[in-house]
Amino acid sequence: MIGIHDLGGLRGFGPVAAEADEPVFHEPWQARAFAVNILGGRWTAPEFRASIERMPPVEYLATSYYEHWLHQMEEFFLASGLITAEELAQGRSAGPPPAGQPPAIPPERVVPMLRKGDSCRAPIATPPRFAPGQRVVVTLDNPPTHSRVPAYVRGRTGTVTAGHGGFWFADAQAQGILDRSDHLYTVRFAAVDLWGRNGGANDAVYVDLHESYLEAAS
Amino acid sequence: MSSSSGSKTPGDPALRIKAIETLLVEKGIIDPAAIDEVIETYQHRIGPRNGARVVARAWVDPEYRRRLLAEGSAAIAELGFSGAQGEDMVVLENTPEIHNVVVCTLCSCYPWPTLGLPPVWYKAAAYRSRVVLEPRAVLAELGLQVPPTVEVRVWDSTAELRYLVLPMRPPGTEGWDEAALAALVTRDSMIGTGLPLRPEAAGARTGA
Repeated sequence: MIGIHDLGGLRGFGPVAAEADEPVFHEPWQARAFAVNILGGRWTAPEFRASIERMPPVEYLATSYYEHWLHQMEEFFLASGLITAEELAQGRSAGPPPAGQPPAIPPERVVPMLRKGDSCRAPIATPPRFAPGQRVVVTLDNPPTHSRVPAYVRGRTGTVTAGHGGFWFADAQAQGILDRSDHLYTVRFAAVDLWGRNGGANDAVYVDLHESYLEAAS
Repeated sequence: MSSSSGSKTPGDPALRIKAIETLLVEKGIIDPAAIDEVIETYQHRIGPRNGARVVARAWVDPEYRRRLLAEGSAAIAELGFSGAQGEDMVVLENTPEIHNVVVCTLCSCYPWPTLGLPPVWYKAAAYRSRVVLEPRAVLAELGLQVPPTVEVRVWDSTAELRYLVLPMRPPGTEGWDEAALAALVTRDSMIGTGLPLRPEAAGARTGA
C-alpha cells in the first residue's frame, strides 16, 4: 500500500540532521520499548511493519521512531487479548494470559537467540522467472494491505542484477499467511528512469523486489 | 517526558511502555532480567566496531575479502557476528568508479550485527525521502563530495537482505595492522554516507 511510510522521493523534509556521538538510546523508555518488543514479539516483521503503516499519517510524521513501536505493541497486545484495554489503562494485570503461551525467554537465552536470528529465506518449488540482465517492469498495484514496493518504482522499468532465491512473501505474512514463499531479486533502476530530468545521469537505485511485483518488460 | 503538566496523558511514551512492560512481566510473558540483557547487548556489545573489524579484515586479507563479497553472512560470522537483522547480508564494494550508499525508504532496515541500531537520522523522513532522489546532495550535506565521474548506487533495503558497504582503504596505511585499520572505519563509511578516517586524523581521534 502507498502510505505515509513510503517516503522515497518526497520533497520537503529538509536537511538530514546528523547528531555527533549519538547515544544508542536517547531516553530510558526507548531502551525499554526496544527490549520489550524484542522479547514480547509474537509477530513477523511484515505484521510489525503493517501495524505501524496503519497509523494515521499525521500521527506517523509527528511521533518519534519508538512511539511507532509503542503503537504497534499496543495494537497487537490488545487485538490478541494478551492485554485488555482495562489492564493497559490501570497498568495492572487482572489475570493470567490465555493458556498455551510460550515460556518467557530467560536472560541467558537472549544473546544466543539474537546471534541465531531468524532468516526469511524459504523453500520454493518454482524456478525463477527472471535472470540477471533481464529487463522487468514493476506492477502498478496499490493494495489496501502491506506490500514492500516503494511507490517510486511502481510502473518503472529496471534491470535484474541478482536473483536471491526464495524468501517468505512479506505481503502474505502481513496477513497471517506464513507459508507462502516468493523469489526475490535485486533490480537496478537508472535514476533518470525514476526522476526524469531530476535524476543524476551517473546515479542508480537498487531495490529488492519479490517476483510477484514484477513482469517481463516488452 | 518529565513535564509535570503532560506526564499523565495517554500519549506519554514512558508511561505507555511502563504499562506494557509491567503487564507482560506480571503475566509471565517476559522475564525482566532478559529486558536488561537485551538493552546491555545493544548498548555495549553490538555496534559499528563489529563492522569495522570486518572491513579491516577485508583490507588485509584478499581471500577474506573475496568470501565477504561472495557470501556476506558466512564471512561476517567468521568473526563472530551474526543473527537478528543480519541473517542475509550483502556486502557492497566501493571502488574508484562506484560509491554505494544504503537506505530503507519504507522503514528502518539496517544490519544490526555489524552496525548496531541505526542512528535517528537514518530512520527519519529527510534521509529516507531524499537519498534515493538526490543522493549527491544528501551526501554533500553529510560532508561527502562524490566526484561526478563516480557512479552513485543507492541501495533501498526493501526486503530481508541487509547491506554493508565495504569502503576503500585509505591511502597512507600500508603496513598497518588490522586493529589500527579498524580504528579508521567509521559507522557512516559502512552505510556509505561517509569515508573512513584518514591516517592523519586517526591520532587526533585516539587522543580525544
